[in-house]
Amino acid sequence: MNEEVSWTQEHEQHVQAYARSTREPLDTAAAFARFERSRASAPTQATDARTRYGLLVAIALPLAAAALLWLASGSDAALAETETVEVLSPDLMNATEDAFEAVAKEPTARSRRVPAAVAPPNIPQPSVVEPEKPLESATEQSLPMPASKNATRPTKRRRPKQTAPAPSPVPASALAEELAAVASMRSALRRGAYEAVLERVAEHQRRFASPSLAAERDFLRLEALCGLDDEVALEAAKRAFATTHASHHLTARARSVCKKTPPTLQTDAR
Amino acid sequence: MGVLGFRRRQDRGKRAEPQDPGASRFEAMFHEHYGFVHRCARRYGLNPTQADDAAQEVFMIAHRRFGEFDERRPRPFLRGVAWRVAANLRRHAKVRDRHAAPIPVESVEAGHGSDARCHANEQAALVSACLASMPALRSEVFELLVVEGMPAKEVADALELSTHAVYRHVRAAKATLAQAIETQRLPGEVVA
Repeated sequence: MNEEVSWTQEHEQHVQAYARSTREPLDTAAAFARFERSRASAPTQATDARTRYGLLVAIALPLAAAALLWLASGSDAALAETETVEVLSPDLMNATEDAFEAVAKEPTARSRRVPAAVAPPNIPQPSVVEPEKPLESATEQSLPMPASKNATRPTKRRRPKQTAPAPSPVPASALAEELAAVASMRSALRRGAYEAVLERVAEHQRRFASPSLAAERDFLRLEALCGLDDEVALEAAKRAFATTHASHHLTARARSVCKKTPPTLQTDAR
Repeated sequence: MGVLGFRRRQDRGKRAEPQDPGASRFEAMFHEHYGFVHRCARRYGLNPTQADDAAQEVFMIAHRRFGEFDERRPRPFLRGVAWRVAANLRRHAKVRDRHAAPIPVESVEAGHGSDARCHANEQAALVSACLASMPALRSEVFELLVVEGMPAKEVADALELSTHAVYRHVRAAKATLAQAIETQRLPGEVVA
């Protein structure tokens, strides 16, 4: 295109004519009045700013709360490690089977942590040993568990209520040993080493005179017998389980071991 | 102002004094540039009613963001907002032509008005048709720089071009326009 333009007066007249034609008569005052009316009914800049800051606060506050909760949970865990015996109480006796499974499923790392954590030197050793339920509380308190639907998490609000009755808790070291033993049974069951499970069950019976995990141990024995297809021994063990642990929450499941859809402790095995 | 903030009878109907100097500055900007914004909206394909609405919306946005742009030369900002508002309005109105187009000049019937006015309208129609035949960016540069009288720097800011590119587009547009005026034909038009 030739860019050497000779822009003459005639060209300028054309452009001026076009410019005049584009300038329509406008009532600017009326337009401004309309604008003012619209602005009065519209949210103001301050409102916008408030909305913006409100949104910011709405985002920031939950984040801050989550961070505080996370910190608090960290301190709870640390506290639980040092005050394990103190938090053993009947209030947490309703810890669910899922919680127990979560602990028993990962025996290696967590069970190694338990003895060091749950045996502080200055904790008095209680004389009376409570049956298995306090153990579940202990495992819940002393070990960081994966998220479980029914597991009740200890909070600071519950702690004063828990310490009040002081129902002669189980020695922490014994609990840890039992937990390790049951975990080893469970791992053997997972591998299909049913004979080894029975051996470890017998060893557990010999070693612990008043065990806290008797029901869990016997349940694993039922599963091992099921794996060995020893129906006679299984039925006898089921009857013994129902008698010995009549009020235990595993009793219902023990009755259905080795049925069509045998329930196991590996509910969430993946 | 009367007791408890009620306006006196003699004050009613009068415009209230602006609360802050920013309000008076904004009002001055509104009166000065409302026509520019309206023409921009018309140029971007809106009819007069839509252009009114678009101008209102543009100044609503400008009011909200008053202080965030240069008050001394607000036309680049206003043009950009007008372009977006017009685009939204066109989209809602399902107008397909999304390109900037010159304001259509109403044809003048023969014998209507004086000869001079008729001649001026013919001139305007030729320029309008010639600008419509150009690339959209080039015609817009020409409109803003030559027709609206904006400084080249403001045009460059508004269209996100370099000043050199602005002058290049204007030279090309002027060459096309001059040729069309000389020959009284649009570029590419075949004489029967």
